[in-house]
Amino acid sequence: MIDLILIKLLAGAFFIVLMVIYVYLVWRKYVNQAIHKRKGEWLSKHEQAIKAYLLTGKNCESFIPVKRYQFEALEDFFSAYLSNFKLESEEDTIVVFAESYFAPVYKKRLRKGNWSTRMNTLYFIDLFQMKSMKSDLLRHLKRRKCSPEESYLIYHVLAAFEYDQFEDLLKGSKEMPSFLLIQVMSRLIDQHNVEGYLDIFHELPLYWQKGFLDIVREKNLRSEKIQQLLESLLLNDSTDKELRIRALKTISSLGCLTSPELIMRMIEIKEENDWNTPEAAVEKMMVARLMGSIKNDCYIPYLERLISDSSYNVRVEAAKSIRKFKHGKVTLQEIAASHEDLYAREIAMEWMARGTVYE
Amino acid sequence: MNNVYQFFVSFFIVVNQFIIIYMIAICLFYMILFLLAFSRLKKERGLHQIEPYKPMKGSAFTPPLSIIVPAYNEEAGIIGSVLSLVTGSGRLDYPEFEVIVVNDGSIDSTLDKVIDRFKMVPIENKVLQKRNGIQTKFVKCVYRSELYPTLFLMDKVNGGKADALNAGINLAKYPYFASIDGDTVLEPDSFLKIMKPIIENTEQEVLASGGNVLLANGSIIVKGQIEENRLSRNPIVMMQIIEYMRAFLMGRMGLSQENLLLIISGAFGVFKTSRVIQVGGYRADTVGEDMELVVRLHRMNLEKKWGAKIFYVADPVCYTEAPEDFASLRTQRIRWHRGLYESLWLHRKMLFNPKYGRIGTLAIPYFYFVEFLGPLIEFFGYVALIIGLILGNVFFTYSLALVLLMIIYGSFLSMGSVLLEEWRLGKHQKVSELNRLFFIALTEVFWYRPIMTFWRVQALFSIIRGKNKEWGTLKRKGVSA
Repeated sequence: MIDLILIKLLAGAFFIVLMVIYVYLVWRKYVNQAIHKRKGEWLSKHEQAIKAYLLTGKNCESFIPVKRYQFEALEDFFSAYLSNFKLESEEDTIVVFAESYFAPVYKKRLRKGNWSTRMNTLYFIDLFQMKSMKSDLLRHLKRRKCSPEESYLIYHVLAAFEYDQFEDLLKGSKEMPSFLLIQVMSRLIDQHNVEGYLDIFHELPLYWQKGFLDIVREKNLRSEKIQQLLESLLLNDSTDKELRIRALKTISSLGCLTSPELIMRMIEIKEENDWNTPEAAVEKMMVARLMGSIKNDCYIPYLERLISDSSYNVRVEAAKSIRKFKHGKVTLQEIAASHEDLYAREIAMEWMARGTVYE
Repeated sequence: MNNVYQFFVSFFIVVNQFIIIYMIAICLFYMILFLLAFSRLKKERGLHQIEPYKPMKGSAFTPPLSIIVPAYNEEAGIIGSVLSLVTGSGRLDYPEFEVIVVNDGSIDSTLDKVIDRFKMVPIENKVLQKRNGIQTKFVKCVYRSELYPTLFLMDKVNGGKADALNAGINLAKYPYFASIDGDTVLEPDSFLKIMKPIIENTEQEVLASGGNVLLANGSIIVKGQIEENRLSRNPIVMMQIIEYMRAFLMGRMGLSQENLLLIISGAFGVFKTSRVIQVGGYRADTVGEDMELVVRLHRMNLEKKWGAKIFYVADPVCYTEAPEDFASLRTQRIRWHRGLYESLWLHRKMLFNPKYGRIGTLAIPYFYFVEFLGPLIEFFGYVALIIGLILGNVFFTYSLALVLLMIIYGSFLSMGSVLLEEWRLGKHQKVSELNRLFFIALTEVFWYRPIMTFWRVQALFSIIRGKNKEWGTLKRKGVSA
């Protein structure tokens, strides 16, 4: 039943394959070491010239890359350089150099390379801000072999290139991972064009709306219209819960509210619904944070209620917010001494001993 | 008498055939996993080492991370480990994190050393979060560093690693936490690498993320970071390096692609804090708490229909120290086998249970019959081989078949792993190091594998007899100089 010859053959074949691969890899190792050495030598030989070029924009003829290792050496050198310095304009020496010497190779790599080569190429196109690649990128998006990772990266690159049909492009795409979407939006939206996005806010898909609020908070964008939008999101009962949380978070970060009573109105509306369920804990936490950011005395009684909430995070946030008030320490002292709830007394005690800087 | 001998011969033939079929099946199974790993590695190979991580490093939206370092008698290495976490290297560090060192009632000077080096001051009246069901041993004090504001220290009564991790989880304030051994050596980009699948995934929730762990023995380590990669000359260490490669290529890679991964190394893993709390944290009464948690997360995921996933990063994410002598290796392996058994036994309900999808019908049976009981069959294989050689004639064919299969299974697959790792990473700079690994892999079947098999069988018998005293702690030299 057991065919010994077959097993012998299998073992023999396996062994031969292993040896062949082994010989190939040893050979490859020698070759790689040689290339690595040449790369280092080439770079050290031209380092002075490259540095001088980066400052003056002149005399790059001596280090124009021809071989693959020379491209790699330059890419890595520029990449390390750009970890410390920012590209300032299209006239930057790195951009000029990349546009003239990398672009032809990159066009080819996008068409022919395998997945990781194409990804690397896209990273460098982004890093060197090579706007001349715009049409190649758009073309690559339409190719069948363009993976989701590549398309996200292309959106990210195009967002920095002021591509005018960008919104149409995104709308036609699948939903992006939120982290990547925020990266893209962060490049698109700034103080100058934010009003345009405000006008179409309610037409945007929900995940865009959430991202938009994140960007407003992160970039600290302020205007009357933004304030109106944020406040309307709080008072509108049909606002998505996640979106409301972000609106609260954004307001507390901007630290401004047209009328302090507004938040109390929101709570009144909410209390008719699900306000006292565990699911509302995050919203309550954000309300507590917002109150600590606005610091209006009318909030104290409500914070004193929140400090005995069933959720630990709400209690912490309430204690922290009270601590931020002018007489916060005294208030916490009173709570620690006489509040009927043990948890409230404990958390007040903890925050009394601590500065507001502590998270 | 003749009848008895005849019966023995027929019985022995059946045993031989069973073992041979088992070996063929398992070789084929591993080769399939090997090819699965190859196809994924082929895609990712050559991807730039820095550029993909830059956006994460620079973004305020990269989720912050709580890093939990349980420490029990780690005075030799704790300062180096903590320093490598809090100081970082600049270029590829994680943007926002906190480090929680949990002193699990050490009886050496771990506590004093940390307090002294990092100027730790007690946080007065610290209220610990009472999170669902995670009860821990008494926490004596929580400290905060005056030098590094994101560094915390918990001093608690000894309760084991799982208990220490749970205490750390209770203090953790960020949405994800990383569990790290006291002797894990990280690279500057370790956290970015392991978090990348979590951050760039929205279609599915990610419960946990693990990564490729390598061995640090032999390398030069300065201030908790690898300065130069060198291959140890100790054959036991070299064999373990090969074993790690094999486990990574043929176990983790293939299984993780189908969301069937049941092990995330205790040396380094990232978990979603809220979900771990929801399932009750680590189990304090098992020796394999890292595997048990992953199995439990999978189980809850399927029972409660979270639709979440556990990821595995192919890039090397960290280094750890391996035992360098037989005695500590034996202790470690017996403990591992026992841990494996406990995780499987606690979740025996999942075995062949179609309710748990392919975890129940594929992953759990694999761990039962290949990882857990496999050594027993291998052991009988060795016994059959010896008996066959003594008896000679008819059995000679069987014995030869067994030897060949064992060489394929034990040595050739390992040699293949060494080659695949070289092709992918080319980590060992010198050709001589590659040669050493490749040829020592060839000897695996003649000494290392029989020893491993024997220890695991011993572990199995001690489990059956209900003995549980055979694990201790691994003696550490301290990897950080």
